[in-house]
Amino acid sequence: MDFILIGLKDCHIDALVLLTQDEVLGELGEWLAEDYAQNSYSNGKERSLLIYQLSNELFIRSSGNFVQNWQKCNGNGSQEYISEEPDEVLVQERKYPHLKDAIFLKAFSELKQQPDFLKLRVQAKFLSGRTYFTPEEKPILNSWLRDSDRVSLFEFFRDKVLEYKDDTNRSFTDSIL
Amino acid sequence: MRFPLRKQELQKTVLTAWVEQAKTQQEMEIATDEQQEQQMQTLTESELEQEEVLEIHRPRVSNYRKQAVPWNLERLFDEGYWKESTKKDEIRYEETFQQIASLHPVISLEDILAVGKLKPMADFDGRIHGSLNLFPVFQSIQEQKQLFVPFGLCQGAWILSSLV
Repeated sequence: MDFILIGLKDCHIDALVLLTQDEVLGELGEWLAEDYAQNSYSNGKERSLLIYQLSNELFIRSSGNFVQNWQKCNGNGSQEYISEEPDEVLVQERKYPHLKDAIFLKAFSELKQQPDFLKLRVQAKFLSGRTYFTPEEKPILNSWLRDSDRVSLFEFFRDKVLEYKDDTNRSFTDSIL
Repeated sequence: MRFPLRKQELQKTVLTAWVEQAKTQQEMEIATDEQQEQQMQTLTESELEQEEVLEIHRPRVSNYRKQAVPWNLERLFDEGYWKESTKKDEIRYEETFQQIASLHPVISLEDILAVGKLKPMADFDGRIHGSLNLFPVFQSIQEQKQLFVPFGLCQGAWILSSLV
């Protein structure tokens, strides 16, 4: 389990869904890729969707309305680029193709640094059986573990999450967990 | 290890089963490795180059099939769609493929823990959900005809690591 779907509304994450690889490689991922390319299905919608790959720490899919919605809340980026008119957006995209990439990268970077996203990412990694956590994730993991029933959580991780992951099970004893 | 031989079989078969897309009222075809490889190619090389090696590998031939719970793509951006996630009481055993395919593909972690009769042992964020396709918590009556016992030891229990 390596992919999560993130639902954003008003720049806040309101849903995180652990996905199968088949969903990401199949219809769901293709639908978002098409929407990103044409900004067709999500245009004007308040909800944005992103797919994030845990192992690469990358956003690999984004709905077409993500940047516009993100900038509405955060109020930064190139105002020259932003337009409410779909036709105008297309014109600007042709004029500034690299700017679009830069704005996307900036928005992704800002989202990745949000404490709320980090907290959700830590729990998603735990549930997917990962035992490596980045330096920025470790304090969040520690805080979460401190407030949990650690014995039960340990048993849950060992007996349920890692039940069929022999390799991870072996490395578990040397991990931060 | 409780049932080492059985567990080994599960890893080779049930846990590595190919998930097929819903095709209502039609017999689903068994997918081949070639189809999987074609789908893999839809991700770009750069996206995949650092991808972790999956610990569970699919078999070359699988006689096992599992009904996928499809997404309603037309409604992905509608607020109402996200409020209709599957609830724990909707997970029943002995469903038909059609009934399984009609479920909402998303279920909250809280509900899936409840289905697995697990008590919350941590303050998991309430926004965390799982795709229903990750959780083999139901068994179709149609699957009883399959070569392998669906979900085997996992039947009725909650596992997260399957069918990745």
